[in-house]
Amino acid sequence: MRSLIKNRKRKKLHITPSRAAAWFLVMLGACLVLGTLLIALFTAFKEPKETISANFSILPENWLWSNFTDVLTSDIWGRYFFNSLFITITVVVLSILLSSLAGYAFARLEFRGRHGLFLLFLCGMMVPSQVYIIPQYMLLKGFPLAGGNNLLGQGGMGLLNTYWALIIPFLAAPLGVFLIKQFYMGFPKALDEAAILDGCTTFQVYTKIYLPLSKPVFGTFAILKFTGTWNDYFYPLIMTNSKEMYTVQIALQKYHGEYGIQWNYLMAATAMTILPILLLFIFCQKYFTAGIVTSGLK
Amino acid sequence: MKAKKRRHRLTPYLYIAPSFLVYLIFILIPLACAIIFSFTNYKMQNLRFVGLNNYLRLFRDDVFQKALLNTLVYSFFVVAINLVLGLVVAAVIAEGWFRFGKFCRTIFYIPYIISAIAASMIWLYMYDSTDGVINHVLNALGFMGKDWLLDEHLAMPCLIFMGIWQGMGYCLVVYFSALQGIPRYLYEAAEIDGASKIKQFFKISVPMLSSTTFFLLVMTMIASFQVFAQIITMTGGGPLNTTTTIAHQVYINAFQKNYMGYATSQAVVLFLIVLVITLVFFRYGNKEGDAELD
Repeated sequence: MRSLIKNRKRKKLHITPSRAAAWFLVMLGACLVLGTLLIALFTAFKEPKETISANFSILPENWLWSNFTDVLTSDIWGRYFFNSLFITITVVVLSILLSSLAGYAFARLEFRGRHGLFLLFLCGMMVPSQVYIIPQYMLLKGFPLAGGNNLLGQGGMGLLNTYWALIIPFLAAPLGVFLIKQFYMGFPKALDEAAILDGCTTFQVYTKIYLPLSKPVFGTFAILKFTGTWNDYFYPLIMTNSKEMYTVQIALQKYHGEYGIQWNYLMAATAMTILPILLLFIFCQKYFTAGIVTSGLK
Repeated sequence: MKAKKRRHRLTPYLYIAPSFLVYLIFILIPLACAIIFSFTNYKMQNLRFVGLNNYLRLFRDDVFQKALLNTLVYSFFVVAINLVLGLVVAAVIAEGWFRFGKFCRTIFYIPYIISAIAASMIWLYMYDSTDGVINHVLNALGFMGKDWLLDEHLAMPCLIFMGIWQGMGYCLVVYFSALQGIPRYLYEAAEIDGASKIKQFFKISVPMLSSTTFFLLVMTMIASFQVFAQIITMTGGGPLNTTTTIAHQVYINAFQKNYMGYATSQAVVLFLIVLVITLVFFRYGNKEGDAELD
C-alpha cells in the first residue's frame, strides 16, 4: 500500500508548464508576504540613518538589539504589556469556564427555553460592536458605586479605565458557548446516564466526565479568544483614556502618533506586540487551524 | 421530593446564568438601548426623542454617504479577491505535487493572526512617501515613487491591497481543509473520463465547496464591513474622505463630535446592511441550509 501511494506521488510530480506557472505565482505571493514581514523585522534592528531611503539595504549593517530596549524604556511599555497579558489571560481562563458550563447545559440538560436562549446567544455573534459600543460606554461610565459614582451612577468615571471594564464584557462568549456545545453534543449520552445511575449529580457529571475530555475544544477556543482579545483595538480605545490602562495595541497606535516617525523604533515596537501571538502560533499550530476552520472570528 | 425536583429544574439555568447575565447586561441591553438612542439627539446629557430625524439626516450627510460607498467598495473587493485567491491557491497547494505547500500556507496565514494595528504599522512603512519600501523599490527600478496614502485615487486601493494581504490566508486555510474533505474518487472518476484539471476544479471543487464559500462570504463580509483600525491609523479617513468608513464615522461622531444619537443611527444602518446581506446569502447562497463545514 505504501509503495502504491509513493508511486502515485511520484507519478504526480510531472512538471507541466501550467503547473510550473502556478507554482511560480504562488511562491511569488508567499515571498511577497514573507518579504513585507521580514523587511519590517529587519528594520527593527537598524540604525535610524539606515531607515532613510538613500541608505536603504535589506539587512541592517549592525544588528541593534538596543532598539528594543530603547522602545521599552521610552515609555511605560512594561505596564502596557502587563495590561494586555493580564486582561487576555483572565478573559481566556474565565470565559472558558463560563462558556463550558453554559455549553454543557445547552448540550445535555433539558429545560424550558433552551432553544430560544441558545439562539439569543448566537445573535450576538453577528451584531457589529459599533452598534452597542455607545450604550456600553454609558453603562460602564454610569456604573453605580464605582469610580466615584453615587448610587445613581453619577459624578465619577464609573468602571471606565479599569480592568473590570476591559475584562467583564468579554466573559460572555457566544462563540465559545457555541463551539463547546457542539463539542459536547458529540459525547455519547450513555456516559451521562451511567454516571447518573451511579449517583452523580449533573454537576459531577460535568466536572468528572466532560471537563477532563474538553482539552481539544478548550484549546481551539482559547486560541481564538487569546488572539481576539490581544489584538482588539476598538474596544480598549473607547474604554480607556489614561496611560496606565492602555493595552499594547493602543500604546502602539499612540506611539506612532506621538513620537514622530522613527521607523526602526516603530518596527521594534510592532515586532514586540506581535511576538506573543507568534509564539502562540508556533507552539499551538494545530489548535489554530482547528479554530479558524470551525469559526471565523476576527 | 417536590423541593428536590424544583431544584433540579433550576440547575440548568444556574449553569447558564453567569454567561447569560454578562451577555444580557453588556451586550443585549446596550443593543436595545442603541436602537432607542438612534431615535434621540443624545449628547452625553439631555436626551430628547427626535423621531426619524437622525435617519433622515443620513440621506443629507455627504460624508456618511461617502463612508457608506467606501465601506461597500472596500468590502466588495477585499471579500471577492480574498475568496477567489484563497480558493485558487488552496486548490493549487492541495494538488499534492506542490513543493513547500505547507510552508506557503503558514506564510500566508501569519498576516491574519497579527493585529490590525501592527499590520497598519508595517504597511505605513511600506507605503511611506519618502522612506517607504515600495517607493524605494520603484526608484531603484527607475520609476517615480508615489504618495500612496496621500493620493485620493490611490489611498483606497492601498487599503484594499493591505486587506487582501491580511485576509487571504484565512480563506486559504479554510478552503484548504475543506478541499481535504472532498472524496478523492470524484477526481479519479473525472480523470478517467478525461476531464482536465481546470475542468475538475470548476465542476467538482467549486460546487463541492459551496457551503464553505457561503460561510467565508458571511464571515469575511461581517469583518470587512467593520474596518476601522486600519483607517484611523493609516489615513484617518482622508484624503478628502476617500477612505472613511461607517465604523470610522461612528467613532468620529460619537467620541470626537459627541453626537451619540446620530452616531448610533449610523451604526444601526451598518448593522442592517450586514443583516440584509447575510439573510440574502442564507436565502440564495446556501441551498443545503447549513453553514457548517462538516
